[in-house]
Amino acid sequence: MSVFQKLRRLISRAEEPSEAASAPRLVRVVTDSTADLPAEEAAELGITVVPLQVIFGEEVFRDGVDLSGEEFFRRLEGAHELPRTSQPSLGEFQRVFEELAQETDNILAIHLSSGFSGTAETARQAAQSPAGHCRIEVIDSGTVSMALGFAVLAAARAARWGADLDTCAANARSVLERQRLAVALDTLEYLRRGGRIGRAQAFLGGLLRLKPILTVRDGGAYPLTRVRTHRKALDEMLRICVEWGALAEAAVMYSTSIDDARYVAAEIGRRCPGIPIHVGRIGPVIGVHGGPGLVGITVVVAEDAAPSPPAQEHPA
Amino acid sequence: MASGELGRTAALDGRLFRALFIDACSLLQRHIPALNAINVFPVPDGDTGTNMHLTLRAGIEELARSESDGLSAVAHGLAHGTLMGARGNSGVILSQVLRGFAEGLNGAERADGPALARAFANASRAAYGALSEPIEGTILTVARMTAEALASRPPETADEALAKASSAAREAVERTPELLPVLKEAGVVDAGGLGLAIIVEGLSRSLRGESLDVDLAPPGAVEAGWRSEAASLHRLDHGESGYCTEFMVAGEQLEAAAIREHLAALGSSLLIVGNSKLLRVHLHTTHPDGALAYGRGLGEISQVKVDNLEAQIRQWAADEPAPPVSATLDVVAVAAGEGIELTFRSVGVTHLVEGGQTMNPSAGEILEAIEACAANQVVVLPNNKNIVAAARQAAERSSKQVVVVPSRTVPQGIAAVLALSPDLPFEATVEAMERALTSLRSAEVTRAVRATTIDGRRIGMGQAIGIVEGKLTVVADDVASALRGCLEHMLSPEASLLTLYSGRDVRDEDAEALVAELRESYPGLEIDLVWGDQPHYPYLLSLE
Repeated sequence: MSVFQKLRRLISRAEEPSEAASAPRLVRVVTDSTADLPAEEAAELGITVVPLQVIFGEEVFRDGVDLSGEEFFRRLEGAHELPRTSQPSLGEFQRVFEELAQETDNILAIHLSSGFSGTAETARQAAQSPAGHCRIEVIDSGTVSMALGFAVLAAARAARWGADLDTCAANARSVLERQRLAVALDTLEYLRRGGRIGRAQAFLGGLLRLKPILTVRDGGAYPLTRVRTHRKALDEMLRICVEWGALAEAAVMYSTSIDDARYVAAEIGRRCPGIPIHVGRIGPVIGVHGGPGLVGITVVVAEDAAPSPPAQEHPA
Repeated sequence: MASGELGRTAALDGRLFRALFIDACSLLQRHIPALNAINVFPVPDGDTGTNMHLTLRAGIEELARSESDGLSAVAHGLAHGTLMGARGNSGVILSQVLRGFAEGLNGAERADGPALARAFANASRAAYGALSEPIEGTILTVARMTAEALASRPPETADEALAKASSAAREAVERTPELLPVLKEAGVVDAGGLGLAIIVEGLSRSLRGESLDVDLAPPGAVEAGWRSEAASLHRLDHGESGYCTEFMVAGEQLEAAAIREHLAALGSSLLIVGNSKLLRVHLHTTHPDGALAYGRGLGEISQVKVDNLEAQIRQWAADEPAPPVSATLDVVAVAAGEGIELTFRSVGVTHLVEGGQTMNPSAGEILEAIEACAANQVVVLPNNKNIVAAARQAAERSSKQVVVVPSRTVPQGIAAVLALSPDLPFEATVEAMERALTSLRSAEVTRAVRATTIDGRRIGMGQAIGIVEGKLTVVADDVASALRGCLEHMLSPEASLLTLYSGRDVRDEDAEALVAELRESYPGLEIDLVWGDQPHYPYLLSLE
């Protein structure tokens, strides 16, 4: 499918951009650094990426701005104490919205799951403070990484073609309904040290070395299955990915092992020929809990393929 | 210290306000480790102290940049700095508290008791207003109760108002466990609330010229936070060996950061809490003596506790069996040996039937276990080829929906349990468990109890034999050689993990020595040694 066809499909519900004299100002799309969007793509589509903060001891970095993913994981592996991550400040969101309000009357902000971070809540608070006439809609994506990123891209592409705020939001929500995500952890060390075992406790505890495969559901991390070797984890994840049905696009995310990511991407390509597959590094917010060796798959299920996840098809 | 103005201070001006907050920030900084330790809500990620301090510090830094000394301008400068620098939930709420506080002082050049009462009231309102779902038992409650204490009859002077605010804040902190069950459960007070109380106390102490060298964290709370965090360090420490080493060290000018750096080099799961005079240390290390010697060099050490880690983990697994993986599905496994049983339980087997190669349980015994299951859907893992038939018989006689997943060895059974998914439908789970049976190769090593001939091979009494996938494959003079023989037979290029279950008659140190040798011979293999305690078989092994 050509880029043009793809764009047209994505904005199928959008009004064609009118050449009328009173050309409305384009909707602007905002997200945060956990979407793991490639910088060039974000820039090209005019997406504003608000960085979360990564804190090593007393050193504070802006995710993706003054700390690259590569540098983050290098530091993580050597760190005595786990780094912390923190949502962007309310002031930062207010500044971003005020600046964008100079250029647009409509802002769509799509953020990582409120189950992981207060970012969406903070964006919502900032959206309440008066930014003139500007309408700001905030979506809590309920997910993270490229599963969020795909929704942001869909909204931004629609915005680029002149779609209104509701249409951009509808496109994003459509992708959010069709996204699936699975992450294979190579170590539980970081999850444990971060105190984030939570409801996966029963599943992950034990006397054996386990490699869990997790997904994000209802806004939080949720165990899918567990195996004992890294290779099995990758293969199991691929099996799960195929079970999701026909795919529209996919992304493979990794923390430190690009070779694993390439292997997984090649396998997805072999099993689902013709779909675009993006390979990228996962950001610190997930990376700090997933640790080194993490590999994840996020996909968008094709619109015509029955999109409900297996667990809902057959209630257990 | 800020205040040269001893005695009563009637009202605060901008300069004094700034000085008080600088002191409050340094008091907060002292308490970072304690606040981090008791942080259990909303997520127990232990960063409340860090976040609140970095947030307040951002406000102080903003003050250092600003020129104005007017009270209102200073208060707003502080609030603006914390707004831009807010980190984490507690930091965001703190910035809202300070914004409300500053707005309560709008236009004022001096703040006396009643003005501070208004500022606290406004701070509380701002904090509640910032959240869509305010929760009591948190920093919000502390902000509100502090404001309420001043609202009824505000003292005349700033000095009295801050003292009253400070004691109200401390009282509110004490009440947080009653309001928020998760705190009560963990035996701690709310970390964010305590952080706010420490800031208010810092203001008051600074104004009165009292010492800032105090420890305001309730000792019991830190202790409880310590316990829950230390416990969490043991939750998943499978495969770790060495000693869990704990001690307290009392000294002067103890520098937690430097001590942390030194101890981190000695082991893992390091946890240090306390202050410059008393630190509590937890460390997993293979050299407890080195850690204790270092501790002695720092000061006087006490409450020394050194535990064998593996024994500790076993104890934990025995005390707290894992909750079931699935709410609707129970798993019955046949097993012999305390370690094998524990291992099965730790990954989600709900019911065990004792038995194995030399002691096959009856269909009746298996049926009894099936009927004892709470769930209506049951999977049975026989874990031995001679028990599969009895298991099937039991399954047929049960009124429940029972499937036998025909595991022929213990490692196969383990692989099958791991494939349990919390929310797959029954048929899909069974399919995944059956698929898992072929995902590894397994072997058993034992000794011949008498001279015999099997598959045309003569075996002398006492000789060690290796059975790979149920087939006699190796005959050797000792157990270690038989094990190596099996391994050679099973190896394939894809194999990456060897799991050894050590039997009842194998001493821990012998098993560890064998694993060390194997690690040298097979550097590409990860080796997991699990205490199995199974009778008759010195080793069960699986390769995947």
